[in-house]
Amino acid sequence: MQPFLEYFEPSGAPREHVRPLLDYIAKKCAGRGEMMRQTVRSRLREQEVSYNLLGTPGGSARPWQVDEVPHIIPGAEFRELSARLSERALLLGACLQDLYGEALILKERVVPSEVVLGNPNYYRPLRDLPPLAPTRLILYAADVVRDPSGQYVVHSDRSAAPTGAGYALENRLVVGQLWGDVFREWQVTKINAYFQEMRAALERLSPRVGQAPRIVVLTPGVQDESSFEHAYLARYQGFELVEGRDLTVRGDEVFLKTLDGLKPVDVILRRVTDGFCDPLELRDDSFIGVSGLLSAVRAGKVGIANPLGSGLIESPAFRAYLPELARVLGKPLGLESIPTRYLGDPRHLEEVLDTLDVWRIRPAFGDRREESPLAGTLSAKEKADLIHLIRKDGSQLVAESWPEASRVPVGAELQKTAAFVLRLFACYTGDGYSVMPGGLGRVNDTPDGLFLLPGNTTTSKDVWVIGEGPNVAPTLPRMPEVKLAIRRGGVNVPSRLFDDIYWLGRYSARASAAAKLIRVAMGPMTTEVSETPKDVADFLRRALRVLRMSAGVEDQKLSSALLEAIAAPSAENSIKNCLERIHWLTAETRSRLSIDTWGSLRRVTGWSSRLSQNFPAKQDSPAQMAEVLVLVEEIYFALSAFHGVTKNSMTRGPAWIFLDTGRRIEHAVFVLTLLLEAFRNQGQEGRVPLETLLVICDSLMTYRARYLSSLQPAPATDLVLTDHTNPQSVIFQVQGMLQNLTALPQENTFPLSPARQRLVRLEARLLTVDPEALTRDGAEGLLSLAEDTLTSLWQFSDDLTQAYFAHSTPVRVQGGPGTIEQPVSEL
Amino acid sequence: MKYRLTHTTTYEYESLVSHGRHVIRKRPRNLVHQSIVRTALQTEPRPSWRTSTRDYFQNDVDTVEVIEPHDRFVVTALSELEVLSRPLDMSSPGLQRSWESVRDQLERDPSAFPAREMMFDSPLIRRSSTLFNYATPSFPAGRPLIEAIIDLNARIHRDFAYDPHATDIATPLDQVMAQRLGVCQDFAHVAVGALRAVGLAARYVSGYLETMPPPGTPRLVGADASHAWAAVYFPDEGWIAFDPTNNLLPSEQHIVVAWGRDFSDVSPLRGVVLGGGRHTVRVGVDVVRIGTESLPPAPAPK
Repeated sequence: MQPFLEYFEPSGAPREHVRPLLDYIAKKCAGRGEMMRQTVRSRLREQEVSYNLLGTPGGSARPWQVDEVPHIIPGAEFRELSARLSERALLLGACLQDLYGEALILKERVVPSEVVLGNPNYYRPLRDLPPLAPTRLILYAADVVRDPSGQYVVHSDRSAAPTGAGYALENRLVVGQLWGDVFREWQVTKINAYFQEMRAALERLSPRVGQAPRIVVLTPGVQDESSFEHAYLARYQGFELVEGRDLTVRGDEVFLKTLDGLKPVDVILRRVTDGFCDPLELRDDSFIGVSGLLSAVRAGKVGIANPLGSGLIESPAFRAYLPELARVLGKPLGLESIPTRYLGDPRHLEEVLDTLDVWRIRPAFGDRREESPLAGTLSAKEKADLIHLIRKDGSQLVAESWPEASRVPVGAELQKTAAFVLRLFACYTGDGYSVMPGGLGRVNDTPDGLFLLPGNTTTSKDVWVIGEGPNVAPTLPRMPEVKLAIRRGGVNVPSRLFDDIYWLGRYSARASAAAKLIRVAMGPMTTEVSETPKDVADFLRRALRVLRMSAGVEDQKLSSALLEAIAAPSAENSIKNCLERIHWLTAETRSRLSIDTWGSLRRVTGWSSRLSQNFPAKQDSPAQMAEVLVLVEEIYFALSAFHGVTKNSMTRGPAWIFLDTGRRIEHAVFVLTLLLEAFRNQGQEGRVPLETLLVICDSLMTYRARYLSSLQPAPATDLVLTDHTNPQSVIFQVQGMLQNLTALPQENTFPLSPARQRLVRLEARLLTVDPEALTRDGAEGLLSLAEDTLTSLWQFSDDLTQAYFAHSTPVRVQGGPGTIEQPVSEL
Repeated sequence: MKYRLTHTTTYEYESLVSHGRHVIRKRPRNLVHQSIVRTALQTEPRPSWRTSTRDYFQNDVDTVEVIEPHDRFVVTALSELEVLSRPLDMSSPGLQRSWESVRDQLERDPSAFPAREMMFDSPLIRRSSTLFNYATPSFPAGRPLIEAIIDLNARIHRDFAYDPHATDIATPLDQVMAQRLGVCQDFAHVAVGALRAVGLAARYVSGYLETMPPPGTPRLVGADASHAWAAVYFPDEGWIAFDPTNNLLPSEQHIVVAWGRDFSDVSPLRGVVLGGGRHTVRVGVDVVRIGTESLPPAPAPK
């Protein structure tokens, strides 16, 4: 059978509803296709600048694509489609309610027991939870295709954490603008009302009636393929975007961890699948959930959309029994599914083996993303293997028959067509479902064309429902708008973000320090004439090793230690390793960084990949070293630009305070380590590499200006350790951190916090020492002061973590492999 | 037989734990042949919040939260209970039914619904051809199910060596099957998996053995710690337990705490903590007889 053509009658004449579109394209778009595509691409890029995440290191964020021509569905047809989608959603909701309640479906054997009881997505702790929500399907999405006869059928159900609505919204913003002139004329239904319905649906889940609920979007994190959408939706709806570690359950209530303490959470819009939501009672290998969440659900103290357990119905095996379930539960099926058979059912098994060629064999409960070939296209050997597999593991398999999807033209030239899949979205309104008037269209010209995920490179389409008039948002009961009180600082956000920003400060300063040291040390190596004196080389090698910038092999050549400090993965604090951490932290904190800050960070992390291309450089000829040095300089200045941008553009709120404090700790540690290594192993004549020390600390010019004479230990030490006017000195950092601390409202307490006490003591000590005495007698005094100061700084960092971020330390499952208490018998 | 039992688990952490939440399954079940006189559960530090519920399998569950910073966490369960002997009447027609007739009844019989729960794959036990092939010799056509069970019990006891260092909780069943080494938990998993592989319903049971039986009574393998065994479903008789670690059918010396599809459903203690660094865990179980009727008769004075 020929695929259904969305735009044309079998006779070749255009269908009624697309005539205006075709006319418009013929009149206005001739020769403009490329230009329209460019406009779309640049609008998406703009969105990306504002919203998109960096993706994972080594991977790249996949660009989202949307066709410049919208897909059009006549209003009457869509109304019918929505009505049938709603019926299906009601039926699926009723099945879930029964399966996690009385389980009559199982007791009456409407579906084989194994479809539920052997289903890894049937989570027993979720049974008999209080019916806080009237249904387990608050949000629902379905991928539908149109078969050759023109019927819409459901290819897959999305019920755990249906994604894609955010992408549909983004497509509408981009394409709607491009076609602004006809948008009104054709009476395209707006989709924003759907998002208001969704918001109202979530608000209704709040256990605290009569108060504005705190709603959060729970995302698995930046590594999730749809993390862009989570951030987009959260921002559009004004919800806080959080990860599992940002939430905590105390007793049976859920809280958001903020710098200001714990704030109660009323409703969670989750983008985490059922099993991963609570490592304590569901999957203990989850690191993205909230431990204890089930206690809160049981106590009815938090609303979750979708309620836990809703993912069960996504298993393809259920589709095989939906008509029967509809009959038994006395509900209409609504939209039908693609033909599906469960191979653990003897009746189905025989039917499928008899007609094997038309089926695709797929996991009954498992990952829907694996593509599986049509059995008819297999070789005799493959087919025999498949039959063997079906006979052996039938209970884990389904057979599906995929109708050929309808085809739509792609691009304003209308030259090509592609298979079309439509994702529809629905949310529960209290007495039925509201369906988004439109949806996320996806096109693909591969033959199967159905395995399309948001975020991969296939093109999407904006979907227009026309002829119904603009959908006026129904007036919903809303909270009276509260007059905003003027605030300074943002303490209502997850404290984890500040933790990340603190480490962003630390790693950027650490990379800077490494670059500084390498620049100075490498200088002489770029020419044939000069050579690094042995005591200086020794000092630099030791410093690199102690700072873990080199991998720490004894008697290493200085040049190879330096190359390690640039790019060796084995050197913990090599520039490359630091840049990779910065990359991650940038992704994690993206939503809190200004565009300029983000831009400057992207420039920094961009060097990370350059480092892997140019390294390892084995030869250390002067020419090559000179080349490497240029690269290090570039990185150093990129980092300096980041420091400058943040200094100029960040408000002096907690984010700035933690960023700056992180930087200062690193800088102080760096200077102290250099001092220790410079003085610790004084040469035979008591020679200390003071000049190198001062150059690395960017203080040689000051020294020369101030003393005009030979380099001596005491003045040099004063300059980098105790001179509070030198921005490179240790005491300058300590005083800066103290100032930072006093700016935090939480620090204005008495007695002083442990962190502040520590800094006050440290400052006093540094202010009162005599540099002359410190450097006398083999510099014993200096060495012990530097050691003590280092220890104090590490403790100070712990104090900060304890006071501000401790509740955000990653949750560790005690019962991980080998550590759950297990029955161990025999003495 | 009356027992007093103490089950103590001690976690010691390398650094301070600022927040901990634990799910505990340490209270023995009340059963026809096992009546609980009293149970008590204590933790150190004391919980800031706690709740007691029943899980899906009707096991008693305690959930505790500790917010006091600590580097040591101790959970102690104290129970007094009486276990009645449960001799099997081997001649009973229910026990003598062929294993195939039991298998065929499971899917058809509405009253067998709760047992169907125990027929399929579970987190730690996947039916496999290895398990099926291992089970087959015990299940020749027409054999009474009870005989098949006794045979399987003896075979696991004979074929698998007891070695507490060979496996841990993360060791997959496939590996246990390959190396033929393990502890009671592994043997129970083998037994349950083998029965499910041939289409029967089998569950995992966790509990205890008497620590120091009176002179003349053998001290069983698995005393002094949690123990585990298996049970199989007979449509007319209910669940019949068997202990492959000791090759016997449990009676008065086995105390039932909880059951489920496999160990993951009945883990005695499972928790998530913040901080803590690395930790060590120590488990102590003490099961002693109480009441004079169980004491050995004093030697008569001459």
